[in-house]
Amino acid sequence: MLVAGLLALAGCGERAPSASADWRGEIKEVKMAISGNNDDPQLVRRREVYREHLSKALGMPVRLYESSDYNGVIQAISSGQVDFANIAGGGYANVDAQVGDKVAPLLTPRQAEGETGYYSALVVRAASPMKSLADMKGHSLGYVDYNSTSGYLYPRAALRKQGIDPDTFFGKTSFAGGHTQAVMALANGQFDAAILQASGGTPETGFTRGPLRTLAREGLVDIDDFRIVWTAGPIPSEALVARTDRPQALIDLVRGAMAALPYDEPALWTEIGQLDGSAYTAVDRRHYQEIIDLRREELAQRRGGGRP
Amino acid sequence: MRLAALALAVAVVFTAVGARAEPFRIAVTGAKAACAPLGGDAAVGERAYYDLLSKRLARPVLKCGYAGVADAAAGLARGEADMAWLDPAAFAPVRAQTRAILTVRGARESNRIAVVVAVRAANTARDAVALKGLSIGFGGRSPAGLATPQTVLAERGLPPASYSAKIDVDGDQAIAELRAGRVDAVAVHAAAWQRVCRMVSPKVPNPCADLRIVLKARPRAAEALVVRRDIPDELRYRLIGLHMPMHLEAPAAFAFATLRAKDAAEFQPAEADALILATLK
Repeated sequence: MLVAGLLALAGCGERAPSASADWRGEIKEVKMAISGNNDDPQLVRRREVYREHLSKALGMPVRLYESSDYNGVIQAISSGQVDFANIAGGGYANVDAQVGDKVAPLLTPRQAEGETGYYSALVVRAASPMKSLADMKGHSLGYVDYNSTSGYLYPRAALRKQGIDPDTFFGKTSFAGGHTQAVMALANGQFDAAILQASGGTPETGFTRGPLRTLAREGLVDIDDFRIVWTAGPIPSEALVARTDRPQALIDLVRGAMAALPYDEPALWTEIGQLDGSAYTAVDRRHYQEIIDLRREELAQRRGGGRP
Repeated sequence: MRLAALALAVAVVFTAVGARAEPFRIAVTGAKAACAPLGGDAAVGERAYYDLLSKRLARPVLKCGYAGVADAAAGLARGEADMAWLDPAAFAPVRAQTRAILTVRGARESNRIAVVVAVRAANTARDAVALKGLSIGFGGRSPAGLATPQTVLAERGLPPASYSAKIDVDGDQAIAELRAGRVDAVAVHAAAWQRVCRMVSPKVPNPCADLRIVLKARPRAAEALVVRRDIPDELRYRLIGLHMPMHLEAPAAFAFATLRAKDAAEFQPAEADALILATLK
């Protein structure tokens, strides 16, 4: 779907920054890319309500471009085919590596207790003999996607910090293609463990959000069939990012309309998958510096011939 | 030829007038003064703030002097100014004409997050005041776990001295204590409530059917930036959008704009009635 949408957008690309006060003459609709990999079909349906709300708030049509993989969102915002994107920290790091300050983060969710991050969780089946990370030596592991922050980039760096080489420690590694696919592959015994995103809490409090919980709510898996044996984080949460070559007035308008959502429409805020008690906070590139550095290191290592 | 030149001159004048943006007028307290651009003696931070607003809103920004905050509120309601800092007392008389848009979060404060006050379903309490003299459980000692719920209760006539507080490790434990009958009520932030009460399996669609919410509310803001309700949404959202990153983009302007707040960390959006005691559904 995104591919078709992006092809239709070809040629929209980069623009000269506008100094004009009458920016509405230049922008007829807002294009926003979001990752459509999400594990919750209800969430995807609710996005239509969200899109309608945003269109009303902005006073202009909003078109959402959903990508089934991380790279679709990364390429859409890097090339300027969309104006804004909701993107994970690792995805933004990839964008930053490609186009630098042509894309800037605007907002990230801040949770009730003040956290602006989430976690990677190494999850096994509850019946598995694996009790700790050490038990995973020589066993198979499913990553989410090369461009996934919590499902690849961050946990690998955390493992290295613990003295574990993720390229040799596990018996076999591969990409599942998304969080949902990783959960289902784990449930089906395709991997001994999977690295998944976990949020809405801490390792101490437990988590309320993430693909396992979402699929459990859908009745597709039973939460009690899985166990977390290791976590890494917190990882800076996803960002609403903007093309900096768009009119500043549009950027301020979108940032304001998005940030006002939990206050203007608290029910809609939770319906679109955000946690009750959370709200947006403003961020800039510095918030993602650690992830940007990790991505750079990962790219360097990949060029040197790492796995998978 | 002369006619064409005249037509061109009219067109130029018309365009110039059309392009001239309406000024944005900020009500300030101190001394009564007509709306005017900042004087040459303005402090660096004040200049930075006015310049930032002027640039981002693409219009002149004027300063309008009022003797006190109640006068500023009245001036805002009459349409003499476009934005002012108001407190709950000044806001109350002009609530119909104005609305809050932004507050300031202190560095050691939580967001103005919603708090849930709940009892066991069989309890007859229908509001927070009915909990006077009873025991109330809290989910931890963090600002979000204790200070914010206590503020919400105090605003509704329940200062800490009027109940017996039991502070648990977190919201999960506080709610477990309520279920076990060891406290009469809990006051936890909305995320803690959601953690326990959100559906995890379709087999149990309402995990908290045995409990009942008697109040869900955000703490009232002590002060807020307030605008008239009739301003266009675009202007309101742009004001929010340019204030939120001010601490990152323009620290001097942020320091001036938040001078009155203690240990200011950032601007936060606010709901229209942030300055009154409101309940959430």
